[in-house]
Amino acid sequence: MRYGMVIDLLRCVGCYGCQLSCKAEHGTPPGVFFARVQKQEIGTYPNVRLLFLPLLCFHCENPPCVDVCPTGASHQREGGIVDIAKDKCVGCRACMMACPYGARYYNEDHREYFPGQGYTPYEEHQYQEQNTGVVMKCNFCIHRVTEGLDPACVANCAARARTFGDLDDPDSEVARLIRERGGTPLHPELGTNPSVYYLPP
Amino acid sequence: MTQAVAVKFLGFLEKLTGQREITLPIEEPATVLDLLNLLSERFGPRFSTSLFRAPEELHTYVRIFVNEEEVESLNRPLTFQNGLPQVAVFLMPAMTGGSGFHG
Amino acid sequence: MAEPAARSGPGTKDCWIPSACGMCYGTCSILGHRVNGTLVKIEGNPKSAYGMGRLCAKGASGIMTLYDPNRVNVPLRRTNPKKGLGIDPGWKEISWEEALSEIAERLRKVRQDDPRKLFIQRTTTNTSARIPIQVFAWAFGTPNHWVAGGGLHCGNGAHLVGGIFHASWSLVPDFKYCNYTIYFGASKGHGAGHASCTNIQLAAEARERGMKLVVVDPMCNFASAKASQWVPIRVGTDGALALAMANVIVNEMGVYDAPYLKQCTNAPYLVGPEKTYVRDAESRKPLVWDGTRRKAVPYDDPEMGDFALEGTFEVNGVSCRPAFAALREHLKQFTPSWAAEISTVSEKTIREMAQEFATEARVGSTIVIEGKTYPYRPAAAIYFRGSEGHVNSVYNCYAIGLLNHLVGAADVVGGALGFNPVCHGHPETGRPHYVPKPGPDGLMVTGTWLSPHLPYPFADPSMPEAMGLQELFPLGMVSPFTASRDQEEMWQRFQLPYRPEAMINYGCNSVMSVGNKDTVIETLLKIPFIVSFDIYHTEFTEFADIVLPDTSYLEHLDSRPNPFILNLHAGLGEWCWPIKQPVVPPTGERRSTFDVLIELADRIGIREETNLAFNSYLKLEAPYRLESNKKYAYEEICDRDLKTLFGEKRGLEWFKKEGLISWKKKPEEVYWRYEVPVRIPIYWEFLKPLGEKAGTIARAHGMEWDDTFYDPLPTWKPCPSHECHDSQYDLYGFYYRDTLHTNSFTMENPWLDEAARIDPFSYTIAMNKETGLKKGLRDGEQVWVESEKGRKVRGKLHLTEAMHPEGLGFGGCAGHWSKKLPVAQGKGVFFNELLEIDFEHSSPVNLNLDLCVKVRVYR
Repeated sequence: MRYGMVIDLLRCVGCYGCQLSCKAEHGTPPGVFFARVQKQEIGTYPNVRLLFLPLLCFHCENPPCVDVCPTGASHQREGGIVDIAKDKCVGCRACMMACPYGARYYNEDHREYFPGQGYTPYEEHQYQEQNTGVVMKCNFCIHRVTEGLDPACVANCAARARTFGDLDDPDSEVARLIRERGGTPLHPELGTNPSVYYLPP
Repeated sequence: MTQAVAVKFLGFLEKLTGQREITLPIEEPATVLDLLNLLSERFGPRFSTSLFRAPEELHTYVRIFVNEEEVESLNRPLTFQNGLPQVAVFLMPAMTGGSGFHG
Repeated sequence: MAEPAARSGPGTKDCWIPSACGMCYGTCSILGHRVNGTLVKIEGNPKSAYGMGRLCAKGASGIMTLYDPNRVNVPLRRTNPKKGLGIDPGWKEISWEEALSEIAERLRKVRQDDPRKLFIQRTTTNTSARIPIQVFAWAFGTPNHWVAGGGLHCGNGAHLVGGIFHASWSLVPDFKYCNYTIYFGASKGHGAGHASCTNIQLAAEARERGMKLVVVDPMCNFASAKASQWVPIRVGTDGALALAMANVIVNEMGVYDAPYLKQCTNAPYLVGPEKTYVRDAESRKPLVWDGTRRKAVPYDDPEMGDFALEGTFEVNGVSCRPAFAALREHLKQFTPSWAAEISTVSEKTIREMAQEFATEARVGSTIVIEGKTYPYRPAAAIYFRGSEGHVNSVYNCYAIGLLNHLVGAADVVGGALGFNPVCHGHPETGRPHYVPKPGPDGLMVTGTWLSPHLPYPFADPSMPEAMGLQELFPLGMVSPFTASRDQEEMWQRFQLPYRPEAMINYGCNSVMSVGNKDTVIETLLKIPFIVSFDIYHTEFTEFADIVLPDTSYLEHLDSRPNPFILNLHAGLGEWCWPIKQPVVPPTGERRSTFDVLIELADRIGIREETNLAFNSYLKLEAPYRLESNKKYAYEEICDRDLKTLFGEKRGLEWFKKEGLISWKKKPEEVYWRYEVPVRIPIYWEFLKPLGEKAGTIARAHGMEWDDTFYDPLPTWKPCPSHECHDSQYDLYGFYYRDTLHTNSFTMENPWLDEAARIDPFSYTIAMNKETGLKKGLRDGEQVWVESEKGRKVRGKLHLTEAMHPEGLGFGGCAGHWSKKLPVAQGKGVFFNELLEIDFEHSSPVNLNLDLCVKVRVYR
């Protein structure tokens, strides 16, 4: 069993639905995006296209972030999900330096989305669950996955560009898509073996 | 036989006719169209052009109610058995677009 | 993976409440997750056809709009009588009772004097506001009701032509079956607009299936980014391209769908030398030539043999020919080389597009769906804001729409589809039920519409009585004269017998949404009393006398947030009727505007009118019809609406729990074109007499009038920007809709603002990279953009390859300056500041404002 995600770049329209539904799910502080979308220009006028590239933690099989964590806060869970035990994290940020994909964020403080105007009731609710002075990142919405739900970004993707499932099961939708549509991870040469695959645009 | 009908002018018609409610005599049998023609004679061309886009054809924004029920056909007869028919003439112009909502 | 497991419904401490999104007019269905009274998540409702369980960035971010500490929470009255840009109104808190009695008294006096002196404006964003506000306007007796920038910018042409050609508000390709689509300044299925989230999914499936999408657009983003082919075009010239394509299709290729043109259009109607129909002397019906019997007969002659589409005939002593022959001849002037010169799209590309479109349409082919054979035309030409937002608005949409009609690809399998113009109703109640019907000259009248001002038939032009002078422009809906530079001049010219004395605003920021702020502000300063229902203090609110705290979309109720012709996806699938209900109760003193309007109507003394108007608009049936003398809460009206539509058991209580009702669309509802005996005009004969009558009135009042915009056949007319020949103004400024934002309202949402600040385009001014480098400009620097009229805005430059060399693109309607919108303030660029608002910059047919402007850019 190895959880993984396939993102179909042909289907994605760069609407940022993943980025914002992730924010709504996790209540992350300002500046923190477990899921985000990058826009890249490819080509020169008039032969040009915009590529919408959704990014998140790749839940690598060989995660450099886990290797460098001095306290064991960063760890691999069952199913290959890379997670951070917030109570063990000391905020040294070595993992952020080690992650080649920039998927980790340091939560210095519970900053307000309306600076100087206090927390919204929503922020108050969500910040109860978060520690400050620690590193945060995508955990494949493990709280949803254990309930049998897809991660928030997958469940919300209007283009149905994201598929979640078991990479080890050859009959799974993710395995089929990777096989049939030629899915590849980002920067495979780094040897981290990510669990997130992209289908060509 | 001469009967009576009560007419209310709603929306902008109240301003246009200078009245909210009138009762007027009408010869039986009479249809809604007969009544509107009668009103047109009484209130003049300004009233008439506010109602009719062509003879016997109302603008799409004109609504007629008889005893609070909206009238679909101008040929609907006015009935007098159950007392004075209450007719309401209502302009519902809509100068709005966009998505009407929106975009 | 699995769909969400059973979640508890309304009424529990941890519950999911079905409702409707209000972050744009797309109004996708949502589930609000409320825990101990706090909204903690908004997700799409997977049971609904509106969004199919998915939301865009805006929809997912609604929590931050709900909980914005900058919201208006109490009624306010200004203490400073002086109004002006940047002048503090000196707001003082007042009670609701104080506010309502003051407003009612002012409005009662205005109404006694002349009800037309009340001017109502509302936002396009919240679809729920349409009915209660329209009802209030009718009951009051004012025709002066507009949606400010909405309509003037996006709808006068697109929705008008959508109504005339498809009996629907908008059109999309039949994503399920279409193989070749051309978008002309449209982005349907790419993150914004009508049926937004559902169309994203349908478009993604079409893309995966291999539908070729060609996007004609000055900028390569959104739809063009996903297109099979991006065709960069000079801003505002789409109509020329479409006309040349039509010429290639019918004259060079000789392709057209004759059976369609004969049965479903006015192509066979005989047209005389005066460009008008040759009519039957007795019935006045337009005549057609029966090729079998070799004589002219009325178009609906039951003995009809074969309609002639070509040839010249002598009828009633005049020489005449079928409308199609006239169109075909007319199109010959629009050669690809002519269009290439205007549009910068090469002759080769124009021919290729025309050839591919006509070939892919497979004229003559059929397909079997659910056991029944339908015409199959898997090609579609789709227009929207980019092509329609110009003085040539009507002809641009007409020309693009013609491409579909020439090859018979309209409301048939695979073609261009209107949004649900035919509905046979729920199987148990038969409601709602509407079908287009034949009107004057057999031409199509919509079966349903969003306002009583139908796209066809038109009233005869007459002396205007509305502030927008729409009586003189029967094809126009929203009019610039409501807030234009030449407003007073026009009112005097046409002897408008009154001036606005009171204004009600519902959530609209017209200071930013129409055009340049100075012109709009000048018109607002003339209105002595302004009431604004708002969730925020916007740039508009600064000019109000009383501000009332409105509920957001997450705090109010509505039984019909989604009319089918507006937001339900086109094509096969499900009918779906959701409600909107509060996912949290309103905090503070916020009240639903819909109830406040009913209360005001009551205090003004127009209860009877209000109730009859609700009965009429909602088509309430006994026993659910409102009694004229009884006062109703909006909730009760919603209950009666739902029971009329879906039966006694399915009232508001049922819908609050279930959220929505769905049933299957029938193929004959979706592919209705040959099932309904209506014709659409490929030749707009009605335009000429309208133009003549309007022109007579206009000229009699000293106004210059250009008859050439009222010719029955489309042509290309330049935008004012194309007629600026001062070489220092070398770029065409235009704005486009950013997927992260809706109108001017979402920049205050800190999540969306944060995403937009990272996005390379949202808040920047996009310029072709080579163009910028030639000017010595650098990516990321602050620049001035100045119109030929000397209006200026400043913003951050983004040099990009994804832009036509002459284009300058601005994201949405940003650049707020209100200090009471601390998140939005200073973000992005206020493009509309560059737009003139006057007749010179408007369509003389449908009054659409021209939205492109010639500019220069400097440091």
